[in-house]
Amino acid sequence: MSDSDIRKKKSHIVKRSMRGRIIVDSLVCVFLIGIIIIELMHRKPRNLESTYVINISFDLASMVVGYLIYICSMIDGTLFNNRLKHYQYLLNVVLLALFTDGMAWLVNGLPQQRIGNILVNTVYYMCMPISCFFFWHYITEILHPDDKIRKKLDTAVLIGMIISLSMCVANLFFGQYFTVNEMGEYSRSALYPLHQIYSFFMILISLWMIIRERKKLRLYQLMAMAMYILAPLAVSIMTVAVYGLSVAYPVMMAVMVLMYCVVNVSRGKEQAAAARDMAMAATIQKYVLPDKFPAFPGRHEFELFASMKPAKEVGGDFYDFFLIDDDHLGLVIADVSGKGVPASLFMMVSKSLLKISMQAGASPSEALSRVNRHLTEKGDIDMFVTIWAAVLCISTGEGVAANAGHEHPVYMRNGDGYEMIIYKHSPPVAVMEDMPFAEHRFKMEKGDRLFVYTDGVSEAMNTAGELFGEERLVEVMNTGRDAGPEEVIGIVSNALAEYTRGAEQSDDITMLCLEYRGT
Amino acid sequence: MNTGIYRTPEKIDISTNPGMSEDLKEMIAEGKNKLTIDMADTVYISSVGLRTLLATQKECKAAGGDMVIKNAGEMVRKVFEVTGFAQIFSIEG
Repeated sequence: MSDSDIRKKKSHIVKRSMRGRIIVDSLVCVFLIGIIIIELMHRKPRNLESTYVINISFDLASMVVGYLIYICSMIDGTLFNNRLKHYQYLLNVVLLALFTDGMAWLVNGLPQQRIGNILVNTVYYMCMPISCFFFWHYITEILHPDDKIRKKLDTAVLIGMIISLSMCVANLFFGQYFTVNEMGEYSRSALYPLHQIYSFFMILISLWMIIRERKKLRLYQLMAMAMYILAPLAVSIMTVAVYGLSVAYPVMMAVMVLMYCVVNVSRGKEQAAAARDMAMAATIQKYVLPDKFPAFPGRHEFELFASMKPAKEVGGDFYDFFLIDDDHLGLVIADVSGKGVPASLFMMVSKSLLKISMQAGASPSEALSRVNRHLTEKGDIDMFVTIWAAVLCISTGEGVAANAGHEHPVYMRNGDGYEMIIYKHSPPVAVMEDMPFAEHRFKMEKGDRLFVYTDGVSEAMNTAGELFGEERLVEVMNTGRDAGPEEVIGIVSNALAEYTRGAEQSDDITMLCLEYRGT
Repeated sequence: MNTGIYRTPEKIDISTNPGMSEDLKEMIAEGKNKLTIDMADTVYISSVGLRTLLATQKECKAAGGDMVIKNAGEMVRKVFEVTGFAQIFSIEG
C-alpha cells in the first residue's frame, strides 16, 4: 500500500468516526434542550419569576449557539490534526453548565424535586473547576510555553481541580457551599466563597500566562482569550445588584464563539494555506536533489553519499554533487533561511545557478558571487542562503572551498579521527550586494573523509529543548572511524533520532559525506 | 532621529520569531529608525531570527537610521561569527 493510499484510508476513517460522534452529540444536545423546554412548559413561564425566565432563555439560546459552534469545531478539528481538542472539551463543559443552570432555576422551590435540585446544582458547581482546567489546557496548547514551567503548573492545576471537585462532592454531606431545604428552595451557605478560590487562582495564572507569552499571538487573539476570563467576571460584578440574575455562563459562551472565530479560524486559514504550500515545496525539494547511489559507478577514486530528511515544515535545504570535467568534482550543501514555496524557489535558483557556474569553470567563490549578484539585483528579498561549495581535483586531492555563513565542515585526516574545521566564514548569499566571498584551499589524502551538513543536524533539539551540538556530532562520528560515507550518515542519523526521540523535527536534516581514495 | 530599544526573548526560533518580527516592524512603523537590539536574555538564535534581524537592519537603514546589537552573549556571538553575520551587523559590547 502506498503512502497516499494509507493517507486516504486514514482520512476516511476519521470522517466516518466523526460522523458518528456528530450524530450522538447532536442527539444528546437536542435531548438536553428538549428537557429544559418541556420542563419550562410544564411550569408555565408566567408562574415563574421574571429573572428566572430571563436566565433560562439565555441558557437555552447559549446552548443552541454552543451546539452549532461545537459542530463547526468538529469539522475543523479533523482538518487540523485535532488541535481543537481542549476547546471542544471546554465547550462541552460550558454546555453542561448552561443545562444545569437552566434546570436549577426550573426545579427551584418544588419540594418533590428536591433531590433533582441538589443533583443539578452539584453538577453545576463542578462545571466551574473543570472548565477552568480545560481553559488552561486550551491556552497552553496554543501558547506552548516552556516545558518546565508548563509541567509544574499542569500538576498544580490538576491537583487544584481534584480538590475543588472533592469539595463539591463533600457538599452533599456537609452543605458548606449550598443547601436545598425541605421546601426545595436552594440557598447558599456561609462558606460559598471558598468555592471560588480555585477559579480565582486559575484566572490569575491564565492571565499571567497570556501576558507572559503575548509575543506568540496577535493582539486581537490575546484579547479574545483574556475576554474569556474577564467578561464573565465583569458581568457578574455588574449584575450583583439584580438578585437571581445569572448570566456568567451565557457570557462565557458568547466569548467562546468570539475566541473560536478569532483564534481558531484565523489560525485554521493560515494552517490550510501553509499545508498546501508545504506539500508543494516538499515535492520541489525532493525532485531536484540527486538521490541515486552510487552516484558515479565508474569512479573508484572517491565514494560519496548524501541525504536530506525534510521537516514537517519544509525548509530549503539542498545538497548537490556533479562532475565538472573528468578530473574535477563539484560539491555543494546549502540552507535557505525561509520555509515553504518561496524558500523552494530560492533554492531552485541558487542550486541551478551554482551548478551552471561551477560547470562552466567558475571557482566556488566566483560561483557564490554570481548567485549573490543574481539574487540581490532585483532589490530586497527577505531571505538568504548559507552555502558551502567546493571543487575537488580528483587526481591530486587538492580542493578549493568557499563558505558563505554555513556550518563548519567535519574532517578526518589520516584516520586520526574526525574534527571540526573552524575558520572565518563569509556572510550568507543574498545578504548584501557586490560582496566578495573568501576561498580557501585544502588537500585530501587517501582515506580522508569530509562531512558537511546543515543546522538541522547541529541544532536538532531533544524534548528538553537542548541542542544536539557540534561537539556531540564529532563525538558520534568518531564512534565509526572506519565507516564509509553511507554508514557515516547512517550513524549520525541514528544518533539524531535517538537524541530527539519524542520531539518534533523542526528543520530539514541534510548531510553529505565524501571519502577520498585517490588514484 | 528616533531611538528605540528592543529586548529579544530567551530563544529566537520558529515559535518566538513571528512575535519579535511584528514588534520590530511596529517600532519602525512608529518612526523609530535607530534601534538598539538588546540580546542579554538570548541564549539561542536560529536562522529565522537572523533573517528578522537582517530585515530589521535593512528597514532601519532605508529609513535613514541604523541598527545596533548590544549585550550579545557568547552563544549568540558564536552564531554571528559562524554565519558571517558578524561582518554585517554592528555589534557592541
